[in-house]
Amino acid sequence: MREEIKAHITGVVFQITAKPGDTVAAGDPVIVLESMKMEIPVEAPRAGAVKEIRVVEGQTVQEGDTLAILE
Amino acid sequence: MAQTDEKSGGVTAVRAEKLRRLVERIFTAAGVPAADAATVAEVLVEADLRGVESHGATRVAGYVSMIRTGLLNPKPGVEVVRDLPSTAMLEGDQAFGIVVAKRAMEMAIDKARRAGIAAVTARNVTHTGMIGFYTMMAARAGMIGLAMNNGPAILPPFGGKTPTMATNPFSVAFPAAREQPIVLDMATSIVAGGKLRLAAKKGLPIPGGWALDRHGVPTTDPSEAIFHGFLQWAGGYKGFGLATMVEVLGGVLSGGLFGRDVPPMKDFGKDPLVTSAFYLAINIENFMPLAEFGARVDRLIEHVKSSERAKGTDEIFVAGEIEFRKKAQRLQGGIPLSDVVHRELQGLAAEYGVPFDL
Repeated sequence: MREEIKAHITGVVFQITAKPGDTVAAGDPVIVLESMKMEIPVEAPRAGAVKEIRVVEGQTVQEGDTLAILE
Repeated sequence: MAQTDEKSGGVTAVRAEKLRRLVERIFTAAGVPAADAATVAEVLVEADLRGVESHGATRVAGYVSMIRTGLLNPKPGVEVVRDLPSTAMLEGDQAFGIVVAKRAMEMAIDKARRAGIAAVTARNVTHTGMIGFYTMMAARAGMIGLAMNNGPAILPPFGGKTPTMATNPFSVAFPAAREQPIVLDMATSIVAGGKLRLAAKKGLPIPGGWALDRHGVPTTDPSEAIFHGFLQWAGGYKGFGLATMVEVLGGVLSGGLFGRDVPPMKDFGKDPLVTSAFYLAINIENFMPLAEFGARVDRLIEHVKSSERAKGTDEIFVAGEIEFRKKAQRLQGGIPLSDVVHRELQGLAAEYGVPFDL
C-alpha cells in the first residue's frame, strides 16, 4: 500500500536518512527536518519500503508537503 | 548589498525598521491581532539587531507554521488566574510566548513599583524568543529584571541519558547610569544545538566538552550528538543545577508542564512547543536612589573593563556589551539576513499577499 510521508511543520531538510529501496520499520526516521532550530525526525508511519524521496537536503518545506513515498 | 556568510552562503543587509514592518505584516495577514503582531516583530528584530540571530526573523516561518497547524493560538484567551499585590499567574492558552512574556514583565514592573518586588509566572505558551528583551524592559524602568523559561526535554540530567529538561535559559538585567545595562542572557547548555549542526555540515569535529553520545559519554562527533546524543550542560553539574532552578520557577511554580511531561521536541509538529516562565522585577528605589545604583553599576563595569588583560585578549566585556555594540552597528549598517531567511520571508509575503521590500 502506497503512503505519503508528509511534513508536520515548516522546516529545512537537514538530512535524508533513508534512500529509495530501503526497508524501514514503523518509527524509523526517513527525513530529519530542522525547524525552530531543532532536529525534528519525520518517521515512517508503518513498516515498508521507501519508494521515493521527494526532497533534497537544504530544501525548505511546509507543513503538509510530501517528503517521501512509502510502499 | 550581498555579502558572503560562512554559515549560510549569502546574506543581505536589511534595515531593521523595514524588517520589523515586514514581519508585522506577515503575522497580521496570518491572523494575529495587530498589536500582538507588532510585539512579536519587535522582539524578533531586536534579537537580530543584537546579533542573536537564532531568535530573530529566522523564527517567522516556524511561528507561522505553528499558527497554520493549530499549535500556536493567535487569538488566545490569556487568563490571569491569580492576582495579588506582588504576584500574578498567567495561563497562556498556547499563545505567542513573546506576547505573554511582555505582558507578564509589564505586570511585574507595575506591581514592583508599588510593592518593591514582584513576580509573575506564565504557563502554557509557545516559544518566547530572546528572553533578555523582557529583563531589559525592567532595566529601562529602573528595575532589576529576571526571566527564566523551561521547555521541551532535550538534555538529560547530569550523569543521565534520558532527556529531562530544555536548555533552560535565564536572563538578568541591571540598569547602569552612563553605561548600557548589564544584560546576562544565557542557556544553561554549553552551546546551542546550531553549533553542532554547523560542525556536521562542515564535517568538522566538535570540542569534547560540547556534547554526549548515545551512551551519555562525551563525543567529538557532531552527527552522533545530533541524532543520538545530547548537548552538555554549561559547567557540568553546575549548569544542570541552574537548569533545575529554571525548571522549578518556570515550570513547577507556574503550574505549567515540567520535566518529561513537556511534549518532546522530536514530536514538534504533531505536538505543540510548550514552555512556561517566571518573571521578576525588583524596584531599586526600595534599596537606594536609582542614580546611586546606576553609578555603582558603572563603577563595577569600570573595574571589569580595566582589568589587566589575559594574554591574547584585546578587550574585556561585561554581559550584554557585545550585543549592545552589535545593535549600534546594525542600526547603521543593517541586519545581515541570511539567504535562507530572506527566501522564507519572501515566500510568506507572496503567500499572504503582503508587500515584500527587503
